[in-house]
Amino acid sequence: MKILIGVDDSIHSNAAVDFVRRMTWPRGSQVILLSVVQPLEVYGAVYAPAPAVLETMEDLTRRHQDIASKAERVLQLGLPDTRSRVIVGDPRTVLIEMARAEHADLVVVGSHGRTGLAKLLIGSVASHVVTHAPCSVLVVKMERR
Amino acid sequence: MKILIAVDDSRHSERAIAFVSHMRWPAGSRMIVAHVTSPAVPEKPLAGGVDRAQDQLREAGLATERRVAEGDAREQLLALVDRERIDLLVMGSRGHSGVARLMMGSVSSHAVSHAPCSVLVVKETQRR
Repeated sequence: MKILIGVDDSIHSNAAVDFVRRMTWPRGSQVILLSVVQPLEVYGAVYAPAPAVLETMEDLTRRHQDIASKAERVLQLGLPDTRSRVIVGDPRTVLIEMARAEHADLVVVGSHGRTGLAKLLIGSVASHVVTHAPCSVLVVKMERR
Repeated sequence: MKILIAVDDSRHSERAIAFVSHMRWPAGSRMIVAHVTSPAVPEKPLAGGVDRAQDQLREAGLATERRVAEGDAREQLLALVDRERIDLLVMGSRGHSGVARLMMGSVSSHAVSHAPCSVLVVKETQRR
């Protein structure tokens, strides 16, 4: 089975990684941990980023790499074929595109990301992935008890 | 882990059952197969579908219980999740195409948004 997990530095993302860690997956299963760096939209194609912003992007990317590698080490104990990727873009589209490109069998996401409104029942990324993923989707919610 | 598998009489449910059968669940996990009938839509009794689901899971070494409820599928499933203190709700989905996606909005999308537990939506993988 090929499993794609969207990670960020939220507790919900930790819960998603933990859920995958506790399960026994079919032998030979592969895991891709995907951490998506969201650039500030205002600095998109229109403006050349100032050096300060470039540095921020660098820091941001490094932080995402740390998150992904940490989860990678945790999962590799039980799932040796685990690797991590950091990609810049919109998490919603990047997750769907990678699920398609990698022929994932399952996409796993936490119910909420780092940003967004906690009061929403489900985050926009999770909701988008459930509707648009070409494969099965597991939305992990924090344990309530 | 306590797992609720929602089935109807569609092949989407069969895929959900197949997915669950192929997994190895933590020791001591409990499984419930649930079906909700709608009083508004007369349908043939689904005992057969629930039986098949239970048989298939039993063959995979998974003991299951069954629950059959009547009413609105969305409400009844969430009520079961609460009452049975479910950790994971599993359901099939119609997948991806235009009208199908709208249909899927009704039950699985509602469950993903409103269930207090994790939700696994099993889809047909398109490349196959």
